[in-house]
Amino acid sequence: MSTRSAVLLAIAACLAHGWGIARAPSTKLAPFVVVGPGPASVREGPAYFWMEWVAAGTIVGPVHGPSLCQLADGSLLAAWQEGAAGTSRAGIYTARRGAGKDAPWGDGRRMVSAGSALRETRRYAAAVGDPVLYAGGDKRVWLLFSSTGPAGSSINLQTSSDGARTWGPARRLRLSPLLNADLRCSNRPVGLLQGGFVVPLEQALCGPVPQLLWVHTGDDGEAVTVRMERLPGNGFTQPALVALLGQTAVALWRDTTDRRRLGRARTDDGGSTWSGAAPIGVANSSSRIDALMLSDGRLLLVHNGNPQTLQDLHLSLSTDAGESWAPVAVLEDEEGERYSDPCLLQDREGRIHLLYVFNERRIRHVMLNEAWIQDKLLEAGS
Amino acid sequence: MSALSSLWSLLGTVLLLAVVLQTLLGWCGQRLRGWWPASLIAVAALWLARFPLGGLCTWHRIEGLQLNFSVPLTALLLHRFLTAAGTGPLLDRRALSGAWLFGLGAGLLLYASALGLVPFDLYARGWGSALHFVLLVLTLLLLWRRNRFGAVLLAAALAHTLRLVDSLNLWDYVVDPLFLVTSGAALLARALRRLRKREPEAA
Repeated sequence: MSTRSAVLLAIAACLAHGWGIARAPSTKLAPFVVVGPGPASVREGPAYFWMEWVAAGTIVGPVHGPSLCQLADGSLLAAWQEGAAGTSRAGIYTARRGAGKDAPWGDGRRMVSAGSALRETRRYAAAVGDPVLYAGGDKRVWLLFSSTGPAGSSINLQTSSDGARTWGPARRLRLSPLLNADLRCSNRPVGLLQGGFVVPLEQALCGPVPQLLWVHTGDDGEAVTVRMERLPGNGFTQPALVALLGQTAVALWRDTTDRRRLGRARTDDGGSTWSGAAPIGVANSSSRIDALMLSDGRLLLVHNGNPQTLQDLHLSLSTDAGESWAPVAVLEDEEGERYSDPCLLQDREGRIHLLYVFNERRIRHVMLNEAWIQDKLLEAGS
Repeated sequence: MSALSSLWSLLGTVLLLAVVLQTLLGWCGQRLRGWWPASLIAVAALWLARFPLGGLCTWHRIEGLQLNFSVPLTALLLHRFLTAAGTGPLLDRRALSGAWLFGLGAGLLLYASALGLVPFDLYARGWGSALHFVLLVLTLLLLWRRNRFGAVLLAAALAHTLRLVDSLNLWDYVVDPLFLVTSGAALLARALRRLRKREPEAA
């Protein structure tokens, strides 16, 4: 190589990397969309508590991991995995519920199968599962799901621009250098003020490695950039994220160790750095949990309260950003039954929706309001 | 996946299959040298890449393994293909050494980090500008030493600018699992060769 060629190549390298540095996304992460605190009107009015089944007549196979979002027209969209997990019979199903308080759930219909994922992503998919829904303020709806192939499971993204009536093709996201191996999503995303969302993921190839995935959007609402950061796990995984302020959020974690205590970590820089996850005094059977911020700034948590089984389901409340929790109500407690994969959502009208799986066969929808929580606290003498 | 990244992935698959074909033919005692045999092998590899197998062609099956063809791996495959075809090497001995050392070192660090075996997340640095600075310094050092692997790293930076690989992360342009395995195997083979050479001298 001549000196002249080397100099020319060096100049080209400076230009190419300079261009890349100029275009690299900012290291300062976008602020979160903070759902609460909201108006006091949300807490007023009569207390109510309502239970029903989702797509009661149409679910036939074992179900896992329901996810819920509210669409722009006020209706609810639920997605879940149905069929034997890890097999080609498993699919992702969706059902819709009208905007009114008394509106019924529609029938479940299969939206993603291993075959459709193979056709659309042009990647081999033996099974699909772990759906996670997110709806921004407009009509755009996002579905993340995992597909399992010869190199473990990968995360796929599918979007709808018309309120989940029609969906674009799924595309696989490249998120890990390790053949994308064993990436799974499960918990609810948190919106970002500049569009897009951040969602917890887990890589389970060599023990659970919790991670956060940022999906940013362009002017047309399409996903344009993705970014991942590893979270400090220390035996904790699958965090439920709750945004408290623009750059502040807490992560509540399930515990994979024998401690069987939930953990908590906090970020004040949009998720770039986190305090070390530390155990808090809430028992859990290392099963999925979910949490949200109520209109008055308190946090509501749903979790299995028994360290060994899934036979109960509890609601707890925190007034100090998740450091300590007071029990609100025991929603379920029946020996021999299994209540799993809870998922929370507070809609724009202030109603709190909870989905969870009953005995891996049915999905229960609980609807309650903050006045009901307040009544329960008064009953308990808090 | 953009049209450019699809083409890049097809190019990588065709080169990989062509090298496999050349190796198989070599084992059968058929060393086809020159541009015409090389072109024939490339066409056969292209046909194999597009060959449908259970609803997916070989090309997409290899993509399904999440095997991204990083720029150094593609350069190594092209070098191997051209050398076996007898049309001249793309990389000299120093450039090959540089590529293998880089592939093994960066690959081991990156995959250990991705598996959570080390306390820092190297892959996350590939989304931002940090890795650009590191690679720029490395490229300038290699070019100063007149090592052609510097040109390969420059090509990786250009490929990232053009989004040739189906990823926004710069790591996917410079390291991939096959590159790590190839680098490890090549360095091991070289070490064994040196060891064998020394043994008769010692005797």
